[in-house]
Amino acid sequence: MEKLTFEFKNSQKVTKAVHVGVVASGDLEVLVYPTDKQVTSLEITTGSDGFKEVWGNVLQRFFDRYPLLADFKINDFGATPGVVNLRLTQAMEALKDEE
Amino acid sequence: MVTYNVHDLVFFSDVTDLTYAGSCPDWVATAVMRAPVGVIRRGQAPAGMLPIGIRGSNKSQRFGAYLPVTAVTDHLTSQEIRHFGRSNRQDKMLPIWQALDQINPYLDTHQYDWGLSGSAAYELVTGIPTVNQNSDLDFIAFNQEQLTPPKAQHLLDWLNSFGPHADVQIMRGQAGFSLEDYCYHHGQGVLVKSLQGPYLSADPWNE
Repeated sequence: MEKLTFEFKNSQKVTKAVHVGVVASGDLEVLVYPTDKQVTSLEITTGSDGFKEVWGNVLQRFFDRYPLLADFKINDFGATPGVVNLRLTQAMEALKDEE
Repeated sequence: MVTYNVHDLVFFSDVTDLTYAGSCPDWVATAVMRAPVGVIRRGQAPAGMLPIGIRGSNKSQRFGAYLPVTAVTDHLTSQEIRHFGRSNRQDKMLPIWQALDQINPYLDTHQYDWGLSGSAAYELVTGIPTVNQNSDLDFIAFNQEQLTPPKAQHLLDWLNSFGPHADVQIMRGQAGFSLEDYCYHHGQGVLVKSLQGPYLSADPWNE
């Protein structure tokens, strides 16, 4: 079990909280909360140790496209980068739906 | 002809049976020496090969490799593993085993074609201590008739009422989705893991 934290300088303010994904092997939960801070912070709890660099790359690629300013909590149960990206995109879509 | 499904376990002889891209971490040889067994992964493999995953002694140790079908010495489906005997259970008092013993008779009485995977399956088959207080019960549901969201929720609540978190993967061909995801997110987007990769579906039962 490893806890990872990341910060990104993003611009697109999030106004609602959303929750996507589930607690299941090979999957992850993504919780997004509005923030008053000027940076996007991520707290990732993962069962798969030693993947900080991979996480950094997946997140960087995602935020390059969607610079969401929010607090993220992610609970990972061994998801592949493809699944992580899909769930992040789903969270982004859910935020759009609720506007 | 033998059909290999995702989550089945396959036995082989030794580490030299494995083919892989890139380099092989040191722990793999140790793990294979202890138990020459791999779990069939979802993914493409070269002709005549099975995509398998090797499990190390801690949770972050997973290694993807390919195994020639001709190197398979034994094969257990996840359904067979769900019915495996109790002799390999290391700490017999763990809640996961008690939960399994209560759930199994119900599944059998009602003829659920369900299998068991994950850490519990690995320990049942190898006798290597793998499960702990926090382990999930990972079920693989084959030929499962479509459930309405309330029925799915009811089933999931019952499966989870024994303590350990129960995770049910509904199989559609070689693709699968989580019953919990369906309960919470039906109509929005349920994650389907397919041989071609993951995608979101509003109607995962009928993909």
